[in-house]
Amino acid sequence: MGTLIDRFEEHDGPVRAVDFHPTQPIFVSGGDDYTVKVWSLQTRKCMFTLNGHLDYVRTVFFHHDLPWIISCSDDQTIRIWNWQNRQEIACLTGHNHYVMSAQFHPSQDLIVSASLDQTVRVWDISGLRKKHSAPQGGMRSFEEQYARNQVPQQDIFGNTDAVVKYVLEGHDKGVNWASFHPTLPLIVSGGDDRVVKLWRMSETRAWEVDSCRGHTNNVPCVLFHPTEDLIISVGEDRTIRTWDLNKRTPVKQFKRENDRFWLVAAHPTMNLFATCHDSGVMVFKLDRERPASTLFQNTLFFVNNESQVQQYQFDKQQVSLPMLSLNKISKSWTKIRNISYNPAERSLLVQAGENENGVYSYMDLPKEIVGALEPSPRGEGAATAACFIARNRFVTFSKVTHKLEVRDLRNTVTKVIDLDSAVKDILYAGPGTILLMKPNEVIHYDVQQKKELAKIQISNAKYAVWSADTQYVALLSKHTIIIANKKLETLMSMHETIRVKSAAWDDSGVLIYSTLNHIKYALLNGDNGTIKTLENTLYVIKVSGRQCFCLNRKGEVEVVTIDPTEYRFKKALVNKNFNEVLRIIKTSNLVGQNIIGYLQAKGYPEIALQFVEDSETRFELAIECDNLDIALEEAKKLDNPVIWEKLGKEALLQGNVPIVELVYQQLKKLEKLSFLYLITGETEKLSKMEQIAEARGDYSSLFQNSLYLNSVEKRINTFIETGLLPLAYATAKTNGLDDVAESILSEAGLTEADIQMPSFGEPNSVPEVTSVITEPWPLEKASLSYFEQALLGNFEGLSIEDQPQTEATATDRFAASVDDENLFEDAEPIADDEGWDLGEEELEVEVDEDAVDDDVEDVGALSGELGNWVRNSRCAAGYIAAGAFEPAAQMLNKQLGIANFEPLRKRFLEIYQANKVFIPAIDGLPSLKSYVRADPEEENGSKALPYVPGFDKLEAGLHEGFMLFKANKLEEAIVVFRELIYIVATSVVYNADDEEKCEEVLAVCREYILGLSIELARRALPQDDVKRNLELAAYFTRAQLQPSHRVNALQVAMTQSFKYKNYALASYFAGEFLSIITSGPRAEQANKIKAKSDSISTDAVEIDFDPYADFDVCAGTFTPIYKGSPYVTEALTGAKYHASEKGKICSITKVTLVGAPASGLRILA
Amino acid sequence: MDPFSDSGELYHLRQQFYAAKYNDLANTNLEELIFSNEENKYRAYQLQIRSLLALGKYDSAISEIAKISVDEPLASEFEALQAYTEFLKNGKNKSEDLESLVSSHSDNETINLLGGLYYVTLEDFDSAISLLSSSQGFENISLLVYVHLLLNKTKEAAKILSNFSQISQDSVVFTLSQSWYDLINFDESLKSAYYFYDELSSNENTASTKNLICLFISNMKLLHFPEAQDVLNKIAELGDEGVKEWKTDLLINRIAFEILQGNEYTELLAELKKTNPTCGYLEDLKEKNQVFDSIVEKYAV
Repeated sequence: MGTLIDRFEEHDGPVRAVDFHPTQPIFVSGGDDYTVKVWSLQTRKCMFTLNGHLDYVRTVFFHHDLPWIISCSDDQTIRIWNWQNRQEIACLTGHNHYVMSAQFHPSQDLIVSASLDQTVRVWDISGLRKKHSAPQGGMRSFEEQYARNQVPQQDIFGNTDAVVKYVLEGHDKGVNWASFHPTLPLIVSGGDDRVVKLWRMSETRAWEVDSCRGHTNNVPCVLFHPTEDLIISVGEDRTIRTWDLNKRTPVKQFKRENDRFWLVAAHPTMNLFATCHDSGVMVFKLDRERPASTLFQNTLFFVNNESQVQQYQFDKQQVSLPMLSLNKISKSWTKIRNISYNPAERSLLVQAGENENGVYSYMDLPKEIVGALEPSPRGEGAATAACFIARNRFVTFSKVTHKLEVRDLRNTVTKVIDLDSAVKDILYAGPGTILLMKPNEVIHYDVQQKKELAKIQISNAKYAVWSADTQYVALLSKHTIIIANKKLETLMSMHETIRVKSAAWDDSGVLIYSTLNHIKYALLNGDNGTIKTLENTLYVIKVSGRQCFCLNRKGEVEVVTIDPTEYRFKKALVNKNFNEVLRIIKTSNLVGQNIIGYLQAKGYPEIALQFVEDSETRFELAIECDNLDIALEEAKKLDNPVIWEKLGKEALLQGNVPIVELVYQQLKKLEKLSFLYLITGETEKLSKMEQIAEARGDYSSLFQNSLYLNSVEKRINTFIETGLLPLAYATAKTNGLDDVAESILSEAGLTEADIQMPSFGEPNSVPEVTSVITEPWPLEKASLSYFEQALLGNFEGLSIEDQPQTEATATDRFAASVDDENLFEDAEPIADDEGWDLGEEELEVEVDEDAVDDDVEDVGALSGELGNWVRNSRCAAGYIAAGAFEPAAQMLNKQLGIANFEPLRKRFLEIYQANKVFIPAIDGLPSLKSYVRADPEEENGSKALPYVPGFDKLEAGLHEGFMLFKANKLEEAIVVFRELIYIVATSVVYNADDEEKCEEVLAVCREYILGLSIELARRALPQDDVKRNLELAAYFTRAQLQPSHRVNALQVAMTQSFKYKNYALASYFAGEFLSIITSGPRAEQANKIKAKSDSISTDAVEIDFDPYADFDVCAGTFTPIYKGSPYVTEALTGAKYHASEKGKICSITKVTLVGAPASGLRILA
Repeated sequence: MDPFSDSGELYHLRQQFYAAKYNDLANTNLEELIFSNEENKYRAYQLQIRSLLALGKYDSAISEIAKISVDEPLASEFEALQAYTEFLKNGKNKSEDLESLVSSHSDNETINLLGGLYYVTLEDFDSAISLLSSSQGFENISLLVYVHLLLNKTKEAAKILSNFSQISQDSVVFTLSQSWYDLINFDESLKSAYYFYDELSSNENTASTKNLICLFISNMKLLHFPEAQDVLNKIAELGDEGVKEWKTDLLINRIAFEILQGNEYTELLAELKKTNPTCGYLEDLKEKNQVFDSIVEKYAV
């Protein structure tokens, strides 16, 4: 909206022209008082007046560069003024009627003028420039000297400053306006003959190019579009018209009902025009600047300013080459308004142009992006809106005919619906439904059923943005945003003073919207705020985390980084998601009055408290959230009676006696203090109060206290001292203190007989406080708020959070140890080869291949997908998945020496079942079978492979095993590790890295199973078998466990050795232990053991363990296999055994035969 | 008027039927609907009765048929429907009545279709194919596509579909048949099946457990496991609509899914044994177990 900044009222009569200086803070005006005035924008005052014209001044303009002003007048002259020295420097005569307009050329020394004498004149002012520019110093060039010697061009009066260059005749009536083209040698003029004329000039001549006819009344102003090949003219026929510069044909027109247009001007930099008419000023742009776009999952399709379709990948933040050129789709001078994408067909529906010019076109996107291709449309037609509503249907709508047409993908109309004539636009609203946009409402419409599903009142809504889960829709109009649910029930409605441009839903369900110059957010509860100020208008497309993806008016994607903290915080608060609130408080620096005020207003003083440091605010907030401790703390700092008073009140309400007491002491409210002591039963303190009162000589207080304390003597004394003897006497008498009464009487010189006392009963006793209250005694329940509890909870949580970190480092270490194992394994194969005759092994492989080939024939009965799997598979798993168990078993037997298959039964059946699906097709008839392939994009049956589950579960499985290890559930851990071995044995991997990973998993499982089996064997030993116990404990330390797990083994070995007085070994294990764990209670214990052991350093029991010798542990007998002694291995995990164990079932895997001939694991597809 | 066009008064009922919203259709009071002609009315009844059959409510179907009295050619259609219903009810044994009706009315689309269904149920595929090949009815062609897919003759199915698409004008029967083919296949086909079922499932008029199961399958085949889990949750919300086959299929597919996810699935297997102890899947598993027994025995040391 325009706002009036100031009024400038010095001209006498109408003002016909103004011009702002392009760089200086001044402007110039001309009017019917014959004057030209120059004004300062800073002082808002007229700086000076240029007099000279003898009649109305029609136009005034600044020179783009020189300090000149040009004015023209009904006195038939054009004058040029220097605004620095305020002089008239030229007066151009020649027109013989009113001069209606005169302008400088934007770059050359030319002027164009238009006059009612029916001519347009072009003037050369290079002489004037030469005369007024400073003479050049030094040597002049030859050309210049030559030029100076030539007689300059002059008019008939010998005037050389400004001479007429061309007189353009052609208008049949007076010419009202003439303007230069910014770059081309063209002039456009408009006159009372209702014609817009285009002129061209060369160095030597100028001629009429063409006329644009169409205005039905005078044309007062006309200009060239600053950047595009368009002419824009305004007329007294109440129209604005645009013309194609190259074809001189009308492009578009706009008509006002009652107002004649007078002037039109272009904004120097922005795509805006201004025009004035009989009743005001209008600012407009010729076409929308919003690039058409459509979003599908992680991809944005948009139309750039060259009308080419491009694709943007959000995850890669990468924009593609142009894919399609849409130039031929739209009629000339119409912009692509909307595009709609159909992922099922990878096709695009394009709508361009408005009203009668509206067209749609439906085309495929190219499979590969190789540059802007010309599309081959699959369907075209007229429409003002179009969108896909289903995989195989789209709708087109024309607001000219009010018809909604449903079309199939062959562009055949399958249904026509006549819509209410008020419908202006349609927008997609989920499968089969659209939104009908009417001036006063939006209707959710089911196209198939022709049914209105819901409606909502909103004026002039233009855009609708659905949230990702389609539960909410944001409807945008110029200045209003309404958020509704899918039943179109309003949840939130807000007004925005600046034009709303676009909106998108953030991941967390916050609406992020852009206005002309801001990115803002809106929450469902109506809270909103600014996130960022923009220099150029952006259209928000998608918001993901801190990244806001936008399209700008140049048709480019811009990624704006935004800070989502504020709105996430508010949203978390509104949703009472206090953990999130807390996380944000802890991790971000969200501060400022703003947020504190917000929190307080929303009733979360305890959260606000977390942000504030100012004592006074803290105190107020603490009182508000009943946090007396903080309030007290702050009150002490502030030490101000008003603050204390407040604190006292609150403390009393909460029954916090100590604080109340403190406050009364601070405020010296002794009476209140006394009463407080009375009701809380603090007799001692009350006596003290009495003494204080006495000391201060405050009788009234003393009396009060004596009443509270029921100290009769004190009271009598008080009466006596204040001269109230009768009262003293009565008191004494009633309390049975006859002696005292007597003495009072005698003092007063009276006798008992003189006094008439009424009869009185027993003396009253003051009720005793039965229980003394020292603890705060809550009257008003001040429980910890949700948030405070969360705060407390999380402080504990923090310490938990530390743990995963250490675990992470543990896994890091594990990764490192895995690497170590690689080295370890690399060193092994030499030994491996020793055990195998190379030739024999090759032979074995060949046999294996043959067997496989035979197998294929065996299972030739399998057809279809299962047959493909068998044909394409090279691993056992593929055969299993195909149900060819027998050949699979044969392969596993040959490759790995598996003999005991029973433990694999579950895994076999799982692999078999995991990739079979049943499709209900025709009910009542058998379901169709289908299969899950490893690569869903593999279309070719001859390459099809089954999806074999398990590989991606390996890591989690290891982790589970480690957890069980830590929890000391050793049997269960062994089961888990063994399962992993089975999974690996029947897996398929597709690259060498994964294969390597599988082998690592096998090695880890082997070591853990071996180590844990040894430990379990040790635990099962009878108490008296000390030697074996110590040996097994020692062997356990040889299993290649993660360092953090190996310490457990070392600890066992260390304590057992120490216990049975094997001090030398205990010292060794303690040393190993300390090399891993260097501090903490366990390390201290190890240190102690080591110190003690070192002092003795002998072994009581001799065991078969040499800490410094290199040996492996036989997995069958749990005895060392020293280097050089014969051994056999098991093919799946590589576990080692004494040669004597050959032919037994491996105790690690429970399925393979030790020492069986085997070709090795084959899982790479 | 083309009965399969998008417009037309049977459109909504047909859509319900093909989207497998049988309960909705079975519970519709057709008397309340206004039809422009008698034929449409009785076509609507046929759809309703077939919904009852799909739900396994044979007795209600018979009593519905009994209420109808109509002239030829519709009379024979209902007669055939009656015969087909009884065939289903009586344990799917050969029905002379139906066979003679079919052979004498081979040019009637509805009877032809029922004949096709009958022969497929009896696993007499050759008779079914030769019968159906002679008909131009959309559903008949659709059934023909199904039979070929069932027999794993995908190329033939593709050929029928491509001819079908020429005459179908994109009707729901065609897209449904196409989607079976797509769902069995991979890559682009599979994706289009996914979009098809996604669309059906997200529109309230066409969302049914059956479509969700198909959506679930497409997600699973695309290895989109979290999305598949999402669909499962939706199925759980919608509940079992009373069609036994769906329940069986869902359980089988869920077993596969849970294995792929590394989850426990023994309960599902137990439930399957309870719901449909005779289904082929369980028989197959049993057979596989026996094969495994022999393997264990063969390699035992």
